[in-house]
Amino acid sequence: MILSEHKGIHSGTRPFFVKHIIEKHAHLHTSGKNETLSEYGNAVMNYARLITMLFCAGFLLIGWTDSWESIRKESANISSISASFTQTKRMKILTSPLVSNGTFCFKGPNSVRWAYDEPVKSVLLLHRGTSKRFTQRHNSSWTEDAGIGAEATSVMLQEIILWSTGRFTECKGFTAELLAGTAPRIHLRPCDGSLAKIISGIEIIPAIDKPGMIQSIIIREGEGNTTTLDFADVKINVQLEDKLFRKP
Amino acid sequence: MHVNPSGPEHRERCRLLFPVAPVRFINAIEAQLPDGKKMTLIGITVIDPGGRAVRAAIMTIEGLLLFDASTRNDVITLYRALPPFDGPEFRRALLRDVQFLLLPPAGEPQQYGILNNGSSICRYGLADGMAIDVIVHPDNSWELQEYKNGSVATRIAKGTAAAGGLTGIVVLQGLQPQRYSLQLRPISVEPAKPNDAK
Repeated sequence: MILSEHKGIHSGTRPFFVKHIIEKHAHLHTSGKNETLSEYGNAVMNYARLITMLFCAGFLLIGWTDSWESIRKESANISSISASFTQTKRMKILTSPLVSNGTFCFKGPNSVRWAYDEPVKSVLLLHRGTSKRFTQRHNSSWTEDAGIGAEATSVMLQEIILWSTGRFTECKGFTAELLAGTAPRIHLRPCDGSLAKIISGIEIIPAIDKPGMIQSIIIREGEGNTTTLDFADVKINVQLEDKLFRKP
Repeated sequence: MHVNPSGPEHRERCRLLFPVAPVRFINAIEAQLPDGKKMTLIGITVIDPGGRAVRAAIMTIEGLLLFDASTRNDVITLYRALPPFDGPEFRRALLRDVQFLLLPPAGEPQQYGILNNGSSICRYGLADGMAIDVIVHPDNSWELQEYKNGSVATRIAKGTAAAGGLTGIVVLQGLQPQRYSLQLRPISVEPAKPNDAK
């Protein structure tokens, strides 16, 4: 059953902050096009930012049918989040999915660690105003990846601060559809053509047995290509050491 | 390098590098770009040696598909390309690199034999003054050397195991017209169907 349609950007209705996050993502993707490394960096960083935001936003969905005010009130109590995740990539070129595993950590006011353990060790860090991505190379050394520069840092951190304090603004990039019932979920669809070339839709599935928690996020890229993020071991307001947010 | 003509077993040994049946490789790719910057990506490659067809995709570690294209009989089919991987030169260069690594040069070698160090070598002449040497060392490691006008190296690749494709660590270096390097580390290898490379 559809409870609301295209209402996500209006206060007092639904968890539309996800839309706000994606709107930022869409804006950066449509800001110009040239074959530069920095643009590649933007693409990767924005995608990373999108996933990170979905992670965070997902954990804040306190009650799917609650009011916007209750979401803001509940989110104000979040000081840290940690979770493990499994990423399942399905593409036409693959006969079986490519599975990655990792952990996600958020510590207020502005630190995020998004780490992959396999098949490639990689860490995206946002800490004290800087964003960096490191990967472990064949020789076991950690190297900072190109393209994850300072250009996206301020926007990303500002967004984190926004959602972590429940202050979300309007969005025009996606339309949201909330489907309730025994298998509730939110569908996000891009209303901007250039964004639709990158992501055709997003589905957010809550954990039925754990109110307020997200079970999965499915990102559809079109042509049958999807990325599914399944979460487990979610911990709220646990002690996270600062060293987690430094170069590995 | 001087080729000492020798028996056909050396020509057969040169073929060890290349897959003989359709296969799918998933690799971690550590790239060093012409400007010296480094990045790590995941590559998926399907090769159909019989049809000389290749399909190649690149995605970020976070799962964003950046590029997906195939080529057969020099016809490129593009399925997806995000900036900055959406230019025609990039797709040609990427598919050319994949073909360089996974398909033996067309035709028979002009020369084959043995090098002074005991390695097997096959030398293929190509169009426009280009040539490729396929070298398999006694320890089963291998090299591909592409050069033009007899001496100017344009591309080289080295691998740890001549076992039918990207099964060990493979390093590809572009030298001309731009310098870059790709180190490919295997994540998985599995049999594929010929149509998977379309």
